[in-house]
Amino acid sequence: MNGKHDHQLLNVIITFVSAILLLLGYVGLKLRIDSMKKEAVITNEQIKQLQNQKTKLFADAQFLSSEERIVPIAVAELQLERRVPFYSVSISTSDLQNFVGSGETPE
Amino acid sequence: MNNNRLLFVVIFVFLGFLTLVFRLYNIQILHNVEYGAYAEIQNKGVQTILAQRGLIYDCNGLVLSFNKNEVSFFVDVKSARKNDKLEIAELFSGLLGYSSEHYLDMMKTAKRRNVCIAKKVSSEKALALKKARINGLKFEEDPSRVYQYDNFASHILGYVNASFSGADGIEKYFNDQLKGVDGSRIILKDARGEMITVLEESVIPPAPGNSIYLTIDKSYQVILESALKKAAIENMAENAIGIIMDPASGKILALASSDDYNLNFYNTAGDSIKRDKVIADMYEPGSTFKAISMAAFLDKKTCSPEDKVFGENGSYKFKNITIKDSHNSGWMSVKDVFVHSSNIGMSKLSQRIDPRSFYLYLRDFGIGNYTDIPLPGEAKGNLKNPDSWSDYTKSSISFGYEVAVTPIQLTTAYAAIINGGKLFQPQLVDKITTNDGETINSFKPKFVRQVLKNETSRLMREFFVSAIEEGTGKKAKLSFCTAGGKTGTSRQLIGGRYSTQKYNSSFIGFFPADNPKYLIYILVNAPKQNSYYGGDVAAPVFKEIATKIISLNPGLKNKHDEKKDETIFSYDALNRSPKAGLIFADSRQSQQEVEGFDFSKKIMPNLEGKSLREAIRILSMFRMKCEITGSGRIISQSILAGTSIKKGMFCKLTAQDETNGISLN
Repeated sequence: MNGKHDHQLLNVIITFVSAILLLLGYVGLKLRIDSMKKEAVITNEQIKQLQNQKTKLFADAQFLSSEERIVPIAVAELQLERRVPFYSVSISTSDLQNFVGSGETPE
Repeated sequence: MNNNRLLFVVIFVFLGFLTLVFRLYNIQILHNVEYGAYAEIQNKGVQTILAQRGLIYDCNGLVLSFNKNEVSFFVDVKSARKNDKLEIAELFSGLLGYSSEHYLDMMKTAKRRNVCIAKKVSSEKALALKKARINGLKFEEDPSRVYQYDNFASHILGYVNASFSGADGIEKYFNDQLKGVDGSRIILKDARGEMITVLEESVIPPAPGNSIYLTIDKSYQVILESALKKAAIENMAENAIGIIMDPASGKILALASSDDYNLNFYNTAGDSIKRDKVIADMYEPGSTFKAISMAAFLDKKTCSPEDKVFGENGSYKFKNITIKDSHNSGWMSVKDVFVHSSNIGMSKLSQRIDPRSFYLYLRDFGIGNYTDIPLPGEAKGNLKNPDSWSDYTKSSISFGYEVAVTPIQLTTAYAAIINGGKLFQPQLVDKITTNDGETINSFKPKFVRQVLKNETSRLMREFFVSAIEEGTGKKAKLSFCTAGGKTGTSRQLIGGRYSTQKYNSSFIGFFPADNPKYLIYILVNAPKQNSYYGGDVAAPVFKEIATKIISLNPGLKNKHDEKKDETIFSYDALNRSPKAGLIFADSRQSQQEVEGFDFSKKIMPNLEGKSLREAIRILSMFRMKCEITGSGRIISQSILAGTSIKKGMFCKLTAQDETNGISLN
């Protein structure tokens, strides 16, 4: 009789503990999900920030590599000169031969 | 006794339970809606998810304006205790640089419960501040708009105001496209108001704004802006404005005013500077309007280019009003009337067209009407109805008075004159794309109407070229490309009277002349230095801009400058020797190519003012050797003009560059 009671009591306790464990598990999971949802929101904000930062870096790269910026630095700081367009002068072949024939050489 | 005590405890506990049950009934049943609402307010909140504003690009994909995530921090001075305030002050002082007293003062002197202690903190710094869990400290996303190139294209781009809404320019005109749609989410909050979680089913995601690609080319815009600023300074003018347009499509490649402002600090600029003068200011254009009148006369066939008009030797009395020309002319052709910009000639030609037809031509050109350029604040100019014209009005309008236009109207009309007679709506936006780069609207040139016959347009292009080659626009002549254009000088109307002190000096030109790709409008407002004539003030600005554009697009140079079947002797200006080199003129040029010289007489011509190319060509006709010092135009020659040319003569020519200032000596 006692053994039956003990067995029943054990079942009740197990059921009770299981229910509590399930409940705790549920609460734990719920909290974890809530926290993950919050993290997802924060991560989304960070993605937005990073996207904007990427655009900014892209715009900066375009700005830094633009001719208007490079040329003044090259001229002022590196003392470089802008290469002027190639001047082309046309000379007829026959005149050039006459010229060479006369003993003069172009400088 | 014991039973009584027990009974008392039982009754006491029972009453306690009864009270609780009653209280629960009161809360859960009787006032459930009211308390439910309170609870909702306390632990739930609706958060707005800001949509990303669309970006603005130039036609080559250069980012002109973008967003920056910033955060503003607030303190709820009632929730924050003294220790919290101290902690907040220390934290912000450490990160943002101000003293902690500065923040404590802000909190102490706050007139509202929530005080903003740091506005628009960069996202990097905000990250550390956001992590701090201090009672009463709150934050809010507060994005900013960044204009990458500060003053660049300020009148086109416009700016967004404090509430992140477009307030001017493209930002305002396309605000609906750019702003996107904000989203929202319901969050559960803890007692301090911090988010615990999000109710997923409540999330409405934001729709980011669309991006706009302009027709503006940054390279050209930079060229235009710097040339206008230089012109305004050199001429001590109030300002200078300009437009570069593709006349074949109406696409605006650049549009600027020397009065620009830094878009990142738009608050520091006054309304007058912010006003886009290119579209909002109207003025009486003077001689640049003659092109429109002349096109109407020729198209209507009320005159032909060869017709003769008497110039009255520079002064002509018409309807009791004396019309004057800046030069005294006798008989001149219709073409000369245009080339030498004769007011008298135009006035006389205007009498051949009836007012209604003239008016309709002007309306067809878009005068007195909006061009519908996609920018806010456009003025429509002023063109009176012919019913209200006086006897003198038609004459006045023919040379650009009694009619008011905006620079964009005039440029649009000029595009129609030179492109075959087709009027296009000015186009400023190339395409609109989604945030992911997918094109949702690709804009095509918008043809409005055919204003002129193609033949009239061709004739007008010839007139324009002559106006530069031999008329009032000589200072706009380009070295490597044939250009056409028209000068304009008009008195400003101040207080209802024409000023004798303030003039509008303008020039509108295009190149290449045979197939115009660039139409450039320049207006210098009230120049005070030296001359006020458009030919002296605005034409050189056109030349400067055009020369720079040609240097970016060498293919624009005249085709006949390239000879493929000849030996090419080239030298690099950077590696030049003290003498620029001995060169020969090409003796194979046909004599027909050099006009105005009699080669049979063997008399040395005057080469001064000629381009190097022309001078070499002329000398080649005499089979004369030459040595050249410098480049550009000839300023001196060793054999004087008029000297008989003998075989074996050698001529030294000195040239001076007027295009890029580089001399080769």
